[in-house]
Amino acid sequence: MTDTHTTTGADAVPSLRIRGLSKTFGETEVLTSIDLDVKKGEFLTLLGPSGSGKTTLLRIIAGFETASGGELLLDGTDISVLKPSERKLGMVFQNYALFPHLTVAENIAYGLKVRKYDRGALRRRVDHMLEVVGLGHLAARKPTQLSGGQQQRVALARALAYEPEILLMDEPLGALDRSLRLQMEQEIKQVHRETGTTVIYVTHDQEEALVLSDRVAIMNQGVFAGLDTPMNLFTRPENSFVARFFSDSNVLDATLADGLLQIAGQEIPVESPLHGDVKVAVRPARAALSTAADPATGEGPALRLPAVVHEAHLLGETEQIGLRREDGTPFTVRRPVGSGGPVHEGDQATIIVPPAGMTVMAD
Amino acid sequence: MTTQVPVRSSARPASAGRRAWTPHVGTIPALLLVLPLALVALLFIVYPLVRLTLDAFTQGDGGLSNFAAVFQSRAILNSLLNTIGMSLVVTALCLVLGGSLAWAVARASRPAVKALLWTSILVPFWMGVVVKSYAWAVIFANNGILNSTLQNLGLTGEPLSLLYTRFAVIVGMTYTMLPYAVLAMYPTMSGFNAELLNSARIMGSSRTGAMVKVWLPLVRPGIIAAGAIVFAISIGFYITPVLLGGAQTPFMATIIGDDIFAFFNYPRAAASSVLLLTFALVVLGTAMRFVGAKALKGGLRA
Amino acid sequence: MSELMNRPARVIDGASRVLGGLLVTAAVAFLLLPAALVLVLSFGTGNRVQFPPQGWGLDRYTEIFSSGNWGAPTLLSFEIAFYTAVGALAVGLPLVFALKRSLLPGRQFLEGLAFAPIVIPISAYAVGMYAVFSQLDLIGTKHGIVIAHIAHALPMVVIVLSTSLEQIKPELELAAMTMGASRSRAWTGITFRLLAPAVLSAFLFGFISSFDEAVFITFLGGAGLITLPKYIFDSVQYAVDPAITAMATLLMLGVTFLMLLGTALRKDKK
Repeated sequence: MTDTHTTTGADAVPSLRIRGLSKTFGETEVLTSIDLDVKKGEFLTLLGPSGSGKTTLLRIIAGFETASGGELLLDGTDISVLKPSERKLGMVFQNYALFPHLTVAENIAYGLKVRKYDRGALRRRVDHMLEVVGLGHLAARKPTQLSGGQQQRVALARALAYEPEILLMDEPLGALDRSLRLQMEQEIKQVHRETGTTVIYVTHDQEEALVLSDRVAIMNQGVFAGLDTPMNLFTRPENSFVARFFSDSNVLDATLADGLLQIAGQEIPVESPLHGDVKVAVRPARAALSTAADPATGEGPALRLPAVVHEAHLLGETEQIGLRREDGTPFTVRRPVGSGGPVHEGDQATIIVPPAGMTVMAD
Repeated sequence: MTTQVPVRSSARPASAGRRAWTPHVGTIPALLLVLPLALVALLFIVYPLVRLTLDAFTQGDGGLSNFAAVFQSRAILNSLLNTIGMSLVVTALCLVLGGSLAWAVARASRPAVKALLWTSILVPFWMGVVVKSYAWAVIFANNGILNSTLQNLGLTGEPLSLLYTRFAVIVGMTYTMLPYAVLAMYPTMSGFNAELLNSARIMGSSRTGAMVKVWLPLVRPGIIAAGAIVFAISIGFYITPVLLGGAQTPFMATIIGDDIFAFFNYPRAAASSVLLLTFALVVLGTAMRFVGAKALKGGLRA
Repeated sequence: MSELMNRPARVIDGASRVLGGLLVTAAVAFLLLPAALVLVLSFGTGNRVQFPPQGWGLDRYTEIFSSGNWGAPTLLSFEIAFYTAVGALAVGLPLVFALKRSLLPGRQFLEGLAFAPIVIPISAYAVGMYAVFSQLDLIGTKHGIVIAHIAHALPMVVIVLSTSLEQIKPELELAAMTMGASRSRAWTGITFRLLAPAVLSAFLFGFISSFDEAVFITFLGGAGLITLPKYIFDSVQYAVDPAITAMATLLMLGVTFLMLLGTALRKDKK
């Protein structure tokens, strides 16, 4: 695993350090012994399905929930005993939580007023933040008069105005439609670049995580299933959960002995330190299809799996083909539109996976 | 911003002597917040009811003698039956008229219609009970509006005796309780998903059939809650029966008032009050078992 | 779909539709006519209240203001209603914060306790109060009546406040706190500000509830305390004073105005 490229040597001190953090609600364990170092200036995303514990972790960092055990250190200071107001954090809430009775400018000024900024400094800071999010012309509006995207920007500006150590964002784009979400992703990225604030971002949308993050922590049932750069998680998943959740990969059962992968009665040479029962992840785009109408052979050794086409549909520039293997397990293939002959439900096909398209995982 | 020095030094001992902060108010401040209510409720809601019950069993000759005195008096017994019977009629009228009205308000889409319906519900709701009864007295009096109109139209020769009858009391009480009934049923009615009726009709049910088979079972909790609330309030009525019913058909409240202020028989008044209270609690408790405390509370917080 | 429905079903549908319409019309007429009638008759003249009146004029209104009988009860009603509204808020406002912003056990029970006065048969309640007031020497005292009226107004006040506080998301307070505000600052600067219309509305509801109240004052007011409803009650029992139509109209209009104001204030915020 490599470090992220955006944090340089001098800054590689952890800003937030979490050790052995756990949380139980009654009988249920929501978080199990979480360890995490968030570096200064890093954009870290907590990604997971609902109920995975990502929001609870964020709320514990914010101070809205108390951990059942473990340490929470900000720049070496234990903040677990501090009130949210003393933690020097900023937060963007899921539904923005803008103050409806205050104008845009007053919302942004709130944290500054609490910190007793003098009038001139406060004004300059508010104007600057309005400029950063491009809302200068709406300063006197009330939040209810703004569109969803504009409210989102106010929430962002408000949370960053007083220069918090860490910005926490709880599914901030969840309420926006797709095109606006894409635009907001770019804006958040831009603001992060300009301010250099450390960001901890919670989402269940893997695309958002891919676009925004320096590192992604994939959460499942209260633990990190994977914690790495998006590129590493995408191309070299550590386990089946990450492979399935982050890159929609197909996961196959196999055994590995002496560099030979035994899979579906075939032997494929791979490089891996593992041995015994393993799992193999294949991203949909790394598999090819061979059909009677459009035979493809591929070069060199490859895994060949007979299957039947179950359904096919367009995703845009790519085409997704769902297949059923002989034992009935599903397999998904994606290919550029027009790169192969047409397939129909019920067609016999062979799935071809080159060794380079396979990632061997322990489980 | 990376150069900012932490305000709190790292020398602060971890979690030393400081309780974890929670978004909820702590127990001690919360207790302080409920203190005013606790005082008022204890002294002036709970204590009066407890005191009343104790007095009914201990004052005078004590034991069950006060209740015996109540049941031995023909006048009180009549009045008790009268109170309960008339309250039942009022409850039934309120449920039928109020149910229709609540449904109409919930379904009305034109703002003008909605405004008219709400006005008609809220004007009597906030009119004082004395003023309401007075209005009906003016209407029902021998030389009142109804009689003079009837006579002018030649529909009747002699004026009808309308005031100081059961009829007048029932009308006056229904007038007072109808807004309560509507407000108690409104949350259920407006919460009812009208698409359910459409889907029942798409599947071939008639409009009436859909109302009976789909609507009625779903709004029943609201109707039961409203009925219990209307009945419990009705049996305590004092002003309306006095002004519109006069001496012929006294309500329990009148008897109780007379016991206290005219006959100075507080023990018997206490026993009668306990009976009323018991009726109300039994009805409310039964309703609560049928529809749950939530529905009952929902009926109150329209 | 119409072939699916047989003829009897359609007849029943038609009948139930007409019946429903009639019921609603009857209910609306029933609710509005008495109030309208009192209003119209208040502009009549003559010694008797009859319809149509002998003549039209403002006699009844001039009589209220000139007779001198109405001044004292009106003032007393205003005074008691004002203190009742303040008192009910002093009890209800902290209560709803405990109900909606704490995890105190028994919150449901406390809320139920605050709602209780509305469902206790009022005459039975008044007798219990009578016993307690005799013990505490509160019979016939202004502050005694205010206390009884606070209990009476509590359900409405708590309902208005808690419905509004429920709509103010705790996230707003949390947002203020992440920005550095203390809890008390978040409450005063954000929550109270947003709750202000509901507080005013609850004040008006408490005020009106006391202003209209007639049973407690009869049982607990003794001989000396005569509020407006008590005064009207007493005079109607013996004779129908035509001036009452004018007073009733003024009361109706005043209360309707306050109520509309209160409702508008609550709606305004959403």
